[in-house]
Amino acid sequence: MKTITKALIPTTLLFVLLLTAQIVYSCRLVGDGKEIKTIDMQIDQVRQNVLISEEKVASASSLTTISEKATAMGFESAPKVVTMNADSLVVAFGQSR
Amino acid sequence: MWRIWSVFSLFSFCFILIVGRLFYWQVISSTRLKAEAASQHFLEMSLPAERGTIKTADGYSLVMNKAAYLVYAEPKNITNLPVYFKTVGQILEIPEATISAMVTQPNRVWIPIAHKVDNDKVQQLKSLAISGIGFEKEPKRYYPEASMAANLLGFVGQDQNGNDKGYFGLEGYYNRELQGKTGSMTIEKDVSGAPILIGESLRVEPANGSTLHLWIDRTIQNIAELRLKQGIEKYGAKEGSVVIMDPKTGGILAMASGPSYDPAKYGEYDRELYKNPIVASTYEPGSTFKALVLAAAIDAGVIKADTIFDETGPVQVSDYSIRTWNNEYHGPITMTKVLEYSSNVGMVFAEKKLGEEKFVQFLKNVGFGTNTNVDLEDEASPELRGDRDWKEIDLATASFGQGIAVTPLQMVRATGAIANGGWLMEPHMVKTIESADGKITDIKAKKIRQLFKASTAEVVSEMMVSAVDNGEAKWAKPKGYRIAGKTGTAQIPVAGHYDDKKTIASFVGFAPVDDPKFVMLVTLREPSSSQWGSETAAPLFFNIAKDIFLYLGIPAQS
Repeated sequence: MKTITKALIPTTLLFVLLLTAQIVYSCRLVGDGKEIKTIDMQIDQVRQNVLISEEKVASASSLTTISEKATAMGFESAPKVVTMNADSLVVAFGQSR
Repeated sequence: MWRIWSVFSLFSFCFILIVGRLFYWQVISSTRLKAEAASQHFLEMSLPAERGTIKTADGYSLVMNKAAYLVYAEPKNITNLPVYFKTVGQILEIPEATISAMVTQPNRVWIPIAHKVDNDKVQQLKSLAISGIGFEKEPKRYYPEASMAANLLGFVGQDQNGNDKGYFGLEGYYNRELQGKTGSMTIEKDVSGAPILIGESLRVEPANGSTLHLWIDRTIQNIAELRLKQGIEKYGAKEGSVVIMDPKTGGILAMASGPSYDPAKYGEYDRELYKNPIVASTYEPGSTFKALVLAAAIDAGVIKADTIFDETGPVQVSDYSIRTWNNEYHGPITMTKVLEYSSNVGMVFAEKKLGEEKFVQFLKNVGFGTNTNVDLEDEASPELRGDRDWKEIDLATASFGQGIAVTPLQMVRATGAIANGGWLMEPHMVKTIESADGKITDIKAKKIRQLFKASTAEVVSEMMVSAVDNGEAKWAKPKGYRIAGKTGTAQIPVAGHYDDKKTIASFVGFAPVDDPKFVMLVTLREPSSSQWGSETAAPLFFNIAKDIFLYLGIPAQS
């Protein structure tokens, strides 16, 4: 009888230990699941922010915006542009002797 | 004994009842119950693919995605209906009565209120922490350059199932490439709805849409649109179009038409405006066609640039008398002068020299009557007459571009063959397609056939330079540049006859002649300041050309 009791106690302790470990591990997994959900939501939010930033960059660099800014800063279209052929330059622009 | 039978009957009845119920659950309702169980145990989500962007050759987005949301109501969670209607209605700019009618529908637990609502409005709603309102991502198309290139881009609407679908232009033609493939995620969930890490899961990643890199240059497109708008106003035209192509590759550098529409608000515009007139509308090319006919005749060896034609007066064809546009005749003139004076009678001479068979074959070779295969959804080509349907008068009028219908793209492509040494190119909008995983597919330039010998193209180029330098539009030409071109003024056929006062003024040309960077066609429908191409379309062409020279850094040659 004593032998059986001696064997039962460690077996029960081991069983309880394993059961506790299993419960703790399962609880952690549930926690990890929630964490994954949070991370997924954060990734989603970052993607949205990237999309909003891309939109802002595209809007700021659009020709309409640039044109409006240039006009506000006082730039005007050149009324007349004269281009010169390289052969007919009156001075040696950019040429080294 | 009857008691025993009664108990036996009762047990038998109960047994049958249980078996029947089990049969109902396991066989009849099995599918439904499985689905219900799955919905309780599994979280199923669709992972929408992002629609691809469309970029210009210089890397700027013409179309991209913008953060937007579906705003929906959950009537059971709404605490104060009147405040809800007022607040949500004000922010979403929807009448309170409309929201009230939607939300108070009986037995509804989820009601969509507004689709594709802008992020700032959603943030406003979120900040108010209203109960009974929810948001779901539903990105929409954003056009940083507003209505620029609307006719070639097309727009994104919805199909019968409410999914995004591209219509017209590039959005329509490349819908499959742009829309990508929706993914899905199935994951086992716990009682709170959070995913179970070691549970069953199946995730199919979405494949985002590809990015289209166009031949379109943003600055050249902007120049074309601004100048065209000014031109339509200045010359009082009903409509107008500008198409600019790289003659060496067939790449479309700009494509503008007016009036146009705003693709972000396409529903507010007349449906007629959705079509791109450069590929879907036809016109009679008039005198701009003369250079091509002369090229065909020179290539066939029946005339030369210096062949003399005696222009003494109108020419009789069948029962018709064909005269020059101004009824002036210059006596013996070369073919170069025929082009300079834009002589209709001189063209009839060239056409007769070429002969009916070769002329009709040339019309087919030049691509009239068949689609150009440009990568735009709405392309439509007018049909060419059957080989036996050509009468003498038809051939004569076709030689100076009347009685024959083409699309502006067909015309600019044909003229491109003079600019590039004789090759008819396949026009393209898209240069490369970049898939979401970075794989790049090049769309190579495609030569259809050689229309003219290189030597013929060179001769006709010089004839066109002469037509610009000495023709009716010489006053508008930018000094110092060698530009090849030809004006055109075609009458518009109305109910079986030509209206004298209604014309389509056009100018086609390319520059710089010695190394052409672009071939361009400008058309103006029914200009009211003057009906002539030399006084309307030509100056508009030269204004655009000047801006392009400046942008590309092309100096004057002399």
